[in-house]
Amino acid sequence: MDDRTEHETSDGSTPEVDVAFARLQAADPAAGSDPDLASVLAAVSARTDVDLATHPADELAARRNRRAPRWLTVAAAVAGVAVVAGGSYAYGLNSSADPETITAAPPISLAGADDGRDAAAPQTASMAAGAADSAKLMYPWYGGRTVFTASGLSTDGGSGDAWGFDAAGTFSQDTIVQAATALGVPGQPRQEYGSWSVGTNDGTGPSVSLSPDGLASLSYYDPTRDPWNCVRSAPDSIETPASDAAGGVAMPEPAIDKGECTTSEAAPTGDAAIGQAKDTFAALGLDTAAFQYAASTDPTSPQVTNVTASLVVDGQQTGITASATIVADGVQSLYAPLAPMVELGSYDVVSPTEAVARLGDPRFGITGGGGVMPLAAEGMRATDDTVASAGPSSDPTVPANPVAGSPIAWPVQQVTLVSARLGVALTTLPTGASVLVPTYELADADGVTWSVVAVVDEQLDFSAAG
Amino acid sequence: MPSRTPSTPDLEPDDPPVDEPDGIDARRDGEPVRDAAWLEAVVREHASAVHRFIVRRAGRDEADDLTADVLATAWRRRADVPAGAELPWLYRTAGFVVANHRRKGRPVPVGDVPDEIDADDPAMRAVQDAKVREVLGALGARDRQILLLNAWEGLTGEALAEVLGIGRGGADAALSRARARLREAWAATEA
Repeated sequence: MDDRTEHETSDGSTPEVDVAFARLQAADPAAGSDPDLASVLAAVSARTDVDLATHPADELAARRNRRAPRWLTVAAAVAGVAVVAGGSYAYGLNSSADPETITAAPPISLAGADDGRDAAAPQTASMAAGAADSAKLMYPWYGGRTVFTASGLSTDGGSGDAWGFDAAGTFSQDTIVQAATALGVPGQPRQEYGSWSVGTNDGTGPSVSLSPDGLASLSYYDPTRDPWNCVRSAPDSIETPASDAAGGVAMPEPAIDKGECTTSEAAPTGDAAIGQAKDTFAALGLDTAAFQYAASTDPTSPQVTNVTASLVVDGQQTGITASATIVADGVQSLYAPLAPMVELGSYDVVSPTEAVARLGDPRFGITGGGGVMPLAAEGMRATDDTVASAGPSSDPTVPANPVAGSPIAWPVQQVTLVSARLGVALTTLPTGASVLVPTYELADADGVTWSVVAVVDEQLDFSAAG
Repeated sequence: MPSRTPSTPDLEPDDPPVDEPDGIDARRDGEPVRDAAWLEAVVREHASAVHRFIVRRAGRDEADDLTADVLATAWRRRADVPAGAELPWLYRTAGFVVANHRRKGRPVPVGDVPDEIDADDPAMRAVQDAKVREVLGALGARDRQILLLNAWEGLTGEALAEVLGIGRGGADAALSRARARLREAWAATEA
């Protein structure tokens, strides 16, 4: 029993061959089914005579605690980035059916959301960078020379809601102390490199830290309960061989101390794991009802279940997530954005047709140097597979000489956008604040998408960010 | 001891915390009285999981009503719901509610329902995978109960033990045996 591998469950079986259990999991008749929360609340109210709120919008209004400036200050050029259209951000879907999955629409991305990059991007066309990959792209990459045309799109504008996050009101010593208490991390709070932290960093105990970013992100990790502690491929320290007279070299002692192998017990899966994650998120102050959840357990690593929570607004994933690693005795690591959402109000948005025009507007779409990029470009570059298109043979051949006087090839990509989805995208203001801004996701007939901010010019502040 | 059915609302909004029939006060030592906000949080966090538990074992038609029954029971017995382990408690209660419901609507006090599962298990009927259905049918009711809690609700360890109402060691052993019997029954169908 003592030399069971990390792949064995507590009952001694090797999960790889437990086909029966995998089939049983997959046969779940309730996979993906969810009740209507409002009607459950109403039904419980009726049975108990307890008044339960049935309008989630009320909660948001209750959390509103300050008004942000009316005009969003957006970096001067927000490039459109192609995002997989219709691709389900189905985090961690198990090989078997997951009881709870993320069903909201996929998130919409805006470039610069992740790194807050100032969008004064170079206008130089990166033809060299593009050419090498051109054979692999669904859309040949002509250094970003793309002309966008709207077809069949509405010319009516409208409005969309924007949200911010109260990071400033959340980032505090009180918050880290409360989080440390909720997670059971001992120690005194300290400030390091701008973050609040509790707990030791030397690997002997759990630690939690709160980051001064636009979402007041919290990170928690307990190295002493990490199930992979047992699985170091190389010892951290090798005992010096005893030099004995016989000249033999003693084999180094493995530094893996089996006594610290925390567990090979199976972690809870599915709803049970999500329940634990939700309980912990709630204890940290998250509005757990605003998220959708998915749990994923690798059948070959049953000690760990990963739970992902996706913040959903108006039926669309925002791209903001929380996550937790669940092991047999509870949460072992966690990431959560603690800053509550704040209503920024309703903004006027351009029509989908105008949004297409914006893709050619340097204030919104950079036509060259890594701005608007076809989706397939990213996916293709990630793999070595050459897909479709006329690709060159694997051996380079010398190009034919151009003919004197003939027009010089200057390819321009033509894209026709036929559908539009108005949602929100996470973007970072020059101050570092995180904002969900009304954004269009535009798609061509093949489902390749581009996105562009939807707020009308008059409600954007284009002044350069210094 | 008065008997109550889960669907009987027996609290007025202004009632003071109810004394449970066996004398346990609604207030636990040092902990705040659980109020409407607590109940709402429990519903928001766990309604989906409870609903799925019920769909799996009693079908979809009645699931909405039975889910509300379970959550209403959580309110009536809120003194007993362990903090931080609400979901296993809710599953256990849901098991009673489902078994109660199967007895053709004969009202039975929730606390009096035994742990036995009917041999004619709707959970098996709902399974579309014919082979899984066949193999489940070859197992005992207790093994089935444990396997479904582990495979579909994802329960292990202490949480599983709480739902089963037995000790941790017993639950671990029972799960291990049930998984082994499942594998054997599966292998037998492929022989």
